[in-house]
Amino acid sequence: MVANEVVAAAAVVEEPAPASAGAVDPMRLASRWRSPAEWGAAAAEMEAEPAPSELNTTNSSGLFAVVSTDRMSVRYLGVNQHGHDVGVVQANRPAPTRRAVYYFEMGVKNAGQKGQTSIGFTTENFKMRRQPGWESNSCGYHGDDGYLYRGPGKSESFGPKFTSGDTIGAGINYFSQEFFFTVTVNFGKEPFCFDIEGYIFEEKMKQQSVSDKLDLQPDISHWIVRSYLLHYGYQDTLNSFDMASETDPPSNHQNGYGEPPEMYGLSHRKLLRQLIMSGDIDSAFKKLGEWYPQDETSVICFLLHSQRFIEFIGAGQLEDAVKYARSNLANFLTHKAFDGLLKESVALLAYEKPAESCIGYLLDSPQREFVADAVNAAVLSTNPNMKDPESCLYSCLEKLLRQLTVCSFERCAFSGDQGDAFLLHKEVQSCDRSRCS
Amino acid sequence: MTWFQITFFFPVLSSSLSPQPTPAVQLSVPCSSKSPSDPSSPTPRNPSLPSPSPPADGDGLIGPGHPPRLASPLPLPAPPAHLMFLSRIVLRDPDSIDSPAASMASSKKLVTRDEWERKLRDVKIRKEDMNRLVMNFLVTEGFVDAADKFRVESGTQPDIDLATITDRMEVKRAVQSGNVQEAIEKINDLNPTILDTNPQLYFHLQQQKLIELIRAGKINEALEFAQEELAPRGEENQVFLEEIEKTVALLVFEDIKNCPYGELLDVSQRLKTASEVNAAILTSQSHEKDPKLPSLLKMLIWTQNQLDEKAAYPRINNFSTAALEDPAI
Repeated sequence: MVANEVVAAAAVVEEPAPASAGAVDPMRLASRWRSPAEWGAAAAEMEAEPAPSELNTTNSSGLFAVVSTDRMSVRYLGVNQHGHDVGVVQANRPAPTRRAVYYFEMGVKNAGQKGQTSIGFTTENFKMRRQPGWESNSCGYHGDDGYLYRGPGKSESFGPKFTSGDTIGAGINYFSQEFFFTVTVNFGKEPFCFDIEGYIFEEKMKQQSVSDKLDLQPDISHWIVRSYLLHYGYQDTLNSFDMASETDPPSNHQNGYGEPPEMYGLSHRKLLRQLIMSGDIDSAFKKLGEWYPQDETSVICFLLHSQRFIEFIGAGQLEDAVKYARSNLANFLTHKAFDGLLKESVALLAYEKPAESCIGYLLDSPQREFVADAVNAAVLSTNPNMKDPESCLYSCLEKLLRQLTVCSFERCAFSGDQGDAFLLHKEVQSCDRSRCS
Repeated sequence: MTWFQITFFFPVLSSSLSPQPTPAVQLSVPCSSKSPSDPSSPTPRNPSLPSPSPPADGDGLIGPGHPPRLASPLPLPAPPAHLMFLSRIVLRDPDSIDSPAASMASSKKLVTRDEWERKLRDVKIRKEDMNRLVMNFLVTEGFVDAADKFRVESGTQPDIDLATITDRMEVKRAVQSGNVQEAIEKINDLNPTILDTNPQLYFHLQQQKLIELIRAGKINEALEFAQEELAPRGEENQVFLEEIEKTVALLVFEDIKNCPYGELLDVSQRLKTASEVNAAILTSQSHEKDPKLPSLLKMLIWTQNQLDEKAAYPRINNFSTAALEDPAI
């Protein structure tokens, strides 16, 4: 008996029913259902790229005999009689590319008699007894003459000479595809002498001013925000927004975008969202069954059941939670698609203080919101006029953001993984950061 | 397999010189770039100042406690103690040089719709982040009631005190309805430094006031105002002078609606001034003056254009439907 039901549940997900109601899999929204820690880790992983951390003293020319214990300083002990008496030392890793700018600095402790120190970038197999810039595929800024060298016979007067006590920086700007160099009189132990953060900020502004010159359809932002509110059933916000738009001239001409966004089931969707967001799953279940009857084994029912269970735990009603799980959740237990959420929800029982556990985020409002969004999508999918099932899951805004993310990522991939790809999470955080500073 | 062509660049240091005395160099790795908001970062920046701040006069020499600043690479002669030079070197151009036209056509990668849709599906976007984007729009554009409702309905905290929006919108509305004097007073109530530090904004408000006087047919008052308040400003600034001339010219036409500078009387002129006021108040509240959403949309246009050079892929051309369009082959 039980086994049969499980199979039925599996069938719902694995072969979406041909009816319009089944074409949408709300579990796809589950990519949002992640703990903040997981999100942090995922973002960090996208960002993470090994960067140089010390000097690679094993692949050196051998002319740097003395190396400090932290492998951050070297001393040249060679005899400079010809052009191959050069001591070169590379960093232990190549310059990372998945960012807007890479930058490093060196302090010249003692430039020696001729003052021939230099800084630059080379490829890995560079001849380690030649100055950077003398050979092809390298560039170097030389302290004794202040010239920039970039390959055999290619040199030009560039900047000031530098010598003992100076701090020299070299960087790659992946956006403008430029190398840049900085010279600073060394005086402190700050992380960087040169204000590289400021430099990156300037570059970002430049980049933004390029795209700011592009034209947008008038009022398109307004339209997109409006369709977002409609999509998720934020009806109160929508009403205020529309009211303000009528009295406020700048946005009082939202024509020319074809059909108005779907109003389908708006007040129902609003109420269902309110109930779920307030934790009243029983009422949400009842209303949903009344207005849009769901299959007992559907994803939506599973999500609502699991949320009901979570709400019991949040309220500290553990016995009720167990009872509820036995009669309503057990049937879904062997189903793969539900496995993750189900196991984690049930695991809440194991903690004395579930809210403080590593799965405590299940008790937070983003989890409710995920369920509310899934129910919203399920309601939208019952609209006979809904042509594109994707539109039940994703608002216009989300589609655009997805497109932007993929385009930006692909663009970076095409240019050798250079530059920092768009990540909404990072972008939204940067709003906050600039406000704090 | 694009990454096979990547040339990795290694940071290098080198030295070659006579044996006495021995030189030494030290590498410092970019540890600070990991934590952009690091409070110990040497130069705290004000985000409302996009242009590099030039060193203060007579203060160009650097000593301890005086952080280095980015010298403007172009117009200013860089101060001696810290210089920045830019050299344009194309990082990597192995194949793009030989036959640009031929390679352009043949090397464009085709991404099918299926493949693209899979990529789109794999993107992870947080609902919370989208909510914040929407909230940022409502707040910046001054939809105070909607922002408050959205706070309740979505649980998103606004990124500014909602009360300040109300003040800002009152000022904006005053300009939009032609009550420039009221707007100026309200701005000064909010923060008197806004107009002091923003002569252009103050001029535009005065100009708007003149326009409103002319519109109301108060010719004598308009003349007096132009002579007493505006003319002295024109002497300071050539751009202001031209603006004044255009505005005063409205006085000599009987049918002002159809005169060459009639657009000054248009609603759009009020809106322009109102949006300038709005931006100045936001900046004074350390808030970005523009909402994030339009700049992301522009970024999408830009990124799609850039990607067009490398690949044929499903584009979104109509932002209001966000429908994918099959790549043209």
